[in-house]
This record gives sequence, structure tokens and C-alpha cells, in this order.
Amino acid sequence: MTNRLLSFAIYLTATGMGILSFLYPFFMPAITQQVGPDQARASEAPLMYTLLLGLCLLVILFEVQSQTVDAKLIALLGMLIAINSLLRFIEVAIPAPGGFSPIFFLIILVGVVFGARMGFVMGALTMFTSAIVTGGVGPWLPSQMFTAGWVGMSAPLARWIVGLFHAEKTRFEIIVLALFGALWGLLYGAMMNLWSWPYIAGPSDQYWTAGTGMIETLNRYAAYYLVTSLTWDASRAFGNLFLIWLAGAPTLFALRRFQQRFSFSISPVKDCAASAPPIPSQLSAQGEP
Amino acid sequence: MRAEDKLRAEDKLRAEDKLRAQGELENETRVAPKTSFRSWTWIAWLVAALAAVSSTRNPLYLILILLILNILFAIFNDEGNGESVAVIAPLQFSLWVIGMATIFNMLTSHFGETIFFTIPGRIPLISGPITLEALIYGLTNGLVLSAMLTAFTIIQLALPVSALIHLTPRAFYPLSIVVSIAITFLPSTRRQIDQIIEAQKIRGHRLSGLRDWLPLVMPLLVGGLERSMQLAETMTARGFASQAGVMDQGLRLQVLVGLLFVIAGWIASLAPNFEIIGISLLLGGVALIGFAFWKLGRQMPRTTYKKEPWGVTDLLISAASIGLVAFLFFALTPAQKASLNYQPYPAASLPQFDIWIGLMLQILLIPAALKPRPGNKPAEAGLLQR
Repeated sequence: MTNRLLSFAIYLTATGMGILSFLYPFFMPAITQQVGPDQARASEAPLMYTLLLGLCLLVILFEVQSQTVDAKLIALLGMLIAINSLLRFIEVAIPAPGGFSPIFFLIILVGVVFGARMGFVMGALTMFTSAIVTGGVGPWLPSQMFTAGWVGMSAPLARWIVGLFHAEKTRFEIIVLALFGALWGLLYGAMMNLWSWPYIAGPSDQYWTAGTGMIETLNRYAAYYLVTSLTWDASRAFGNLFLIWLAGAPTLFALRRFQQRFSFSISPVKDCAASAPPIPSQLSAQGEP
Repeated sequence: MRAEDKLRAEDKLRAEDKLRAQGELENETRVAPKTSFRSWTWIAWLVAALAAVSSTRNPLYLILILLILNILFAIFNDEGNGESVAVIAPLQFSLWVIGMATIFNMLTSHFGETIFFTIPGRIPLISGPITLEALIYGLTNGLVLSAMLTAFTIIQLALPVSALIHLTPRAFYPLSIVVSIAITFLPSTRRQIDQIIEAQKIRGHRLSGLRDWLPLVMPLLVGGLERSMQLAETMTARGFASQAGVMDQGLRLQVLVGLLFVIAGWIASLAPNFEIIGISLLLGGVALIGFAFWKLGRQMPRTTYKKEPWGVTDLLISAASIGLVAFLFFALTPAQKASLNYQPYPAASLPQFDIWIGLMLQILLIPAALKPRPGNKPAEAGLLQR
């Protein structure tokens, strides 16, 4: 019980801090408005954002691996990440329209079948591995890892919605997952913009400026997102929706079958003599046939 | 040449082509050529480069940094035979980023007093004056992003993949195994795709639309899952034991407390008059978390085949990098600070250039100056092999 409470508290705190880090560009201008424009502090925002997000990511990975360290899960994750990284490699080699990426499909389905922890690791490490392979390591990587991790971590929510309607393994489940994928297609882009938005800011209606209020900053970001990112992210959203609609059912079937094959554990027997089945000579000595 | 020999030669060529095709991914994901510096030396250099880039908005300094980084890239990109080893060319990419950022900012930001011309009409966002200030601001944004990208490209060029994985702290050893497995199995997964495509072609399957990819993806996924089962059995048979139970509750509690300290410190540091308390809390929280990671790492023994000793060059580069960071954050005079924080709005002015900052930025070139020449192998060369 204490273990679970501790785990819940760590996830909650790290996730909350991650959300605050993402929202940094929104409340930083409000603070500078109160304390007066201070360009030096404002310029720290993106750096602070990357550092805090990196720290949250490390803490969640630390907590995740406190339970997910058995050989079966490590091998399974390694293979799934290899497949997903290859999909991203293909995506880099053959650019798809807009922000379409085939990787979220598998992250969501792994999260649904294997749970939030596996979903988070799958998302975060897919981004990490594919960044190493494709040369995509950069200051954007913690944000990418965190956001993709959240995609996998939140996937059990879709399972919960399906469970409410007792519609597991039906077409309704695929519809819910496809819509969930589409929603994350948009959200991922909106969150990923935030690491670079303060850098490309300028004094216009869509740009980040130190000293404006929170509502004003939100309005500016909404305008910026609509103009520069919506079309790009829409292709990712449609891509996720289409892939889950098309391949969701067979993939879920395969993952669930393997989940059953993987869900066994070997534990040493404490007292071999007591737990071993009686040998025939003992049975006859006890008067049994 | 006899017909038989000709056929044999053709077969050989075909086999070589196939091998080359199979090895494509290995080449694309190839291990970068090793440099004789320690991994941590490069990390110290990267921190200094990023600190330099993020500490200024002055285009003159940024151009200087970008120039330095491109010189370094050119030096470390040469394998010795004149061939490039980098997957992407940062100079071309930088020019594209800078060009796009400048044009985008000029077209969408209509502030500033020095007007070039005005786009007439009521085109949303586009119509309005095109200003010199918007041009400079866009250029600065492009320079910042390009410099960051180039710094990371140099790191990827200088450090092999194995060294990057080895940088993972010991506390995250199970996850680094996951990443190692993923990277190790990437080429074979790629080969599996080829085999599946060939098998489906024999069955008359054609790839004409997205829907046709399903018969390829499913065998790939199921094959991968089967292999993970075999791999898990192999790992268990070779003595890979579960680490469950290693993590004690005290360490996790320490991480939680550290995280709460960080949040409290961060919020406090944003409030006026609480900066020092806030930063102290924040650093205290980071130290608590770091100590927990270190303690956990100590519980996970790791043997190293060949250790990387600290050479004189490593010490020099690391010390110089730390010196540059310290100079940029703690040793600047108010006039030097002002020259770093250049703002083109509302009216563009000539950015100031401080000669001392310019000279200190040359520190970033030190790895190029200390790079051993081909044929002149230093004692620590090749120590990144593990």
C-alpha cells in the first residue's frame, strides 16, 4: 500500500511539474508583467523549461524502472522500440505529408495493452533511440521524449472509456482509440511548439513577449498555432486515426496474445520438500491407492 | 572471359549489391569515427557551446559562434580521406533555417521604424510594412536555432553510439539495456522487412497504397514479439536476473522530496525578493535527486572493458569549457552584459561587439586545435572501444 502511494505521489508530482514546465511560456510573461520587464530572466525561460522537463523525465523513468526490470519486459520493450524506431527512420527517409508519423500508432496500442508505465517508456525511449539513429539529438529531445511518453502513459484512459461501455474487442474500441490518436496528433504538435516558440517570438499578435499577461500570451499562442501548425498537425492527427482504424484491431490482437504469453513469473520455492508433489512410495505409505 | 566466369562475376556483383543494400542501415546509423577525447570532455564542450548560444541575442556573436562551430564540424567531419561522415550537412541546413526564419519574421511581423516597403491590401498577417528590425530579429532566431543544431551535430559526429549509450547514468541501467537492445536489433529488423517484402511479392502482393502495408507490418510486429520471447529466454539463461527489490523506498522518498523542493524553489525563484531562497531550494532539490540516482547507481555494478583515462587534452578542454561558462554567467561587466542582450526593436542600431567576449568564444575551437593528427596516435586513442 505504501509502495503504491509513493509511486502515485512520484508520478503525480513529476507529471504536474512537467505540465508546469510546458506552461512556462504562458505564466512567465505574467510574472514579468508583475515584477517589471526583466530581459535577462525572460531569456532564461527556454533553458529552464528544458532543464526542468529533463529532470521530470528522469524522475518518471527512475520510478518506471523500479518495477519494470524483468528480462521479458526488457526484451519486449527493446524489440518494440526497434520496430518503432525503424518506422521513424523510414519516415525521415521518405518524408510523409505534413507532420504525419507512424510511430504514435504503436505507442498508443502498447500503452493500451501493457499499461501506463510501459506506454511511457515505449514513447520516451522510441524518441531517444530514433533520435540517436537519425541524428535528431537536440534541445528538443527532452520535450519529444516527455510528450511521446505522455501519449503512451495516457493510452489506458482510452481503455477506461471503452471499459465504461463494456465494449472491449469491438469496433467501438477501435473508434475510441482512433479518436484518441487523432487528439494526440494535434496535442503533440501544440506541446512541441512550446520549446521553440519563445525563441521565434517577436512583437506581433502571435509571438511570445516578456511582460504580457497570461491570457494575452494564450491568445497569441492560439493565433500562432492556427496560422503555423494546425495544417501540419492535422495530417498527423489524420495519420494516427487512419493507421489505428486500419491496423488497430489485428495489432491489438497480436499484442494481447503476447501479453498473455509474457504474463508468467518464475519464483523460487522456499521449502522444496513441503511444496513438492508426493512421490508414489509416500502415497502408498500414507494408505492412499 | 568465358561465359561461366562472366556469370560467376555477375553473381558476385549481385551478391555484393545485396550485401551493400543490407548494410545500408548500418552505414546510415554508422558509428561515427572515434576521437581521442573522453565522452565527458565532449559533454563539457557541448554545455559551453549551448551556454554561449543561449546567453546572447547579438547577431555578431551568434555569427561568430556559428562560424566556429562550422570550422569544428569541417575538421571532425573529415575521416582523413576527404570523405564526409555526417548524415546531414549543417551549413546547408543552417542557411535554410536562417533564410526561412528571416523571411517568415519579415512577412509576419510588421513592427519597427526602418521600413523597406509595404505590402498593400488586406492579406491576413502578410499585409503591412516590411522592416529592417523584423529582418534582424528573424535572422537572430535562425542563427540561434542553427548554432544549437550544429553543436549537437558535432557531438554526434565525435561520439560513437556506444559512447552515447554509455553516458547513461548507472541508475538507469535497465533502460540503457532496452536502448542497447533496440539499437542492436535495428539492422536485423530492417533485414526482416526486406524478407517480408520478398515473401509477399512471391505471393503476388503489390504495394500500391497505405492499406497494402498491413500485410508487411503485421508479420514484422509478430516476428519482433517472437524474437523478444527468445531474447528474454536467452537473457534469463545467461543469468540476467530481475532487479526487482533493488530500489528501496527510502531512495524513492528522497526523489519525491527532491522533486517537491525543486517545484517550491522554482516557484519561489519567480517571485520578487525570494530569488535566493528559491534558487537554494531548487539546487537542494536537484542535489537530493542526483544523490538518490548516484546511490542507486552504486547498487548496480557495471564492469568496463577499457576505462577512459583523463588525458591532458581532456583536462584542458573541460577546464576551458567550464571557464567559458563561468565567464559568461558570472564575470561579465554591465557593458558586456548589455552587448549580449541586443534588441533590434523599435529602431535597429548597430550591435556592440566586445573584444573580450569575442576572444573568449574562441575557446570553443580548442577541440580542433588539440585533435590528434592522423598517424599520430596518442596514448589514449581508441579507448572508446568497449
